[in-house]
Amino acid sequence: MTAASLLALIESLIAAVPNLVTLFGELKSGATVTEDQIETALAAYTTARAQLAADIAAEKAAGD
Amino acid sequence: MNTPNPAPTTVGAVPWYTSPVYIGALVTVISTLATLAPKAANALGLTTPGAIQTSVQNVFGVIALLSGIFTALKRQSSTVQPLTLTQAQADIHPATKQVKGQAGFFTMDTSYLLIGTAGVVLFLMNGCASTTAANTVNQSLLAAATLNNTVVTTVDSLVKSKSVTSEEATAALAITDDIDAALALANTAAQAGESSTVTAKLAAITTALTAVQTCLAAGNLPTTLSTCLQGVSPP
Repeated sequence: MTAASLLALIESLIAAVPNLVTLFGELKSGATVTEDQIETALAAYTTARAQLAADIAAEKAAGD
Repeated sequence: MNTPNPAPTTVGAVPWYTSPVYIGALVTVISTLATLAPKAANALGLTTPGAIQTSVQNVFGVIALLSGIFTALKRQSSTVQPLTLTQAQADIHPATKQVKGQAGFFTMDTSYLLIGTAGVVLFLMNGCASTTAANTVNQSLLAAATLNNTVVTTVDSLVKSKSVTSEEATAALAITDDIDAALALANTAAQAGESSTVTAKLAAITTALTAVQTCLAAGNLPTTLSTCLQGVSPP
């Protein structure tokens, strides 16, 4: 693993942490979760999945 | 009718000198000997039960200390996981290069981040605080959907950093697809008020997500991610 790829990995993972912490705070406080929030989270999967599928395809093309 | 013998239970092994029961037994033996041979005990200064217990524990403490020193010395010469003074030396060590050549190897940085993310989100799923049943279901659905998205983005990062192969990532994607489909069904059932269906789906989803996170967190073990994911049941 190169330094650049490691940095990219850490940056992407750290970027997800604030969202998780915010969600954690909301849920622990008993805040009401709306249907829109669930729909948004489910829709976000489509985007994340497309990105992963594209990167898998790129890796396959590069011969892993 | 013959019944199979139950498997013996155990709590694991400990060295003899750390066993409280063993130490207690020895104190009893020496106390008995002191009673039977008071002159010999007086010569050793063991005149009270407290003195005997203190003496035995001190001896065992010294043995434990020597054992610790011996373990530390042996550990330095270990070929299973050699020790180095710095991370830089560890990175260029032949043993590290050998392990990095194996599929499914993650760096410790990656593993700690994965474990941290898994811990936060699993806590979300188990630690929701709500005043209504409907909101509890919504909280669980939101937490599970967020966790599933995090799994996908994490695997994507691992693909980009070449920490997993495209085949391993594809195996992970198949499972997150199943989880996403189950989440959609659970969400539909929740809106229709089918609480038993929602509860069953959420339980299966949580089990699958936990198993996937375990595989990701255990990525630095001597197994491939694909092999680990084969044990994950789709929800």
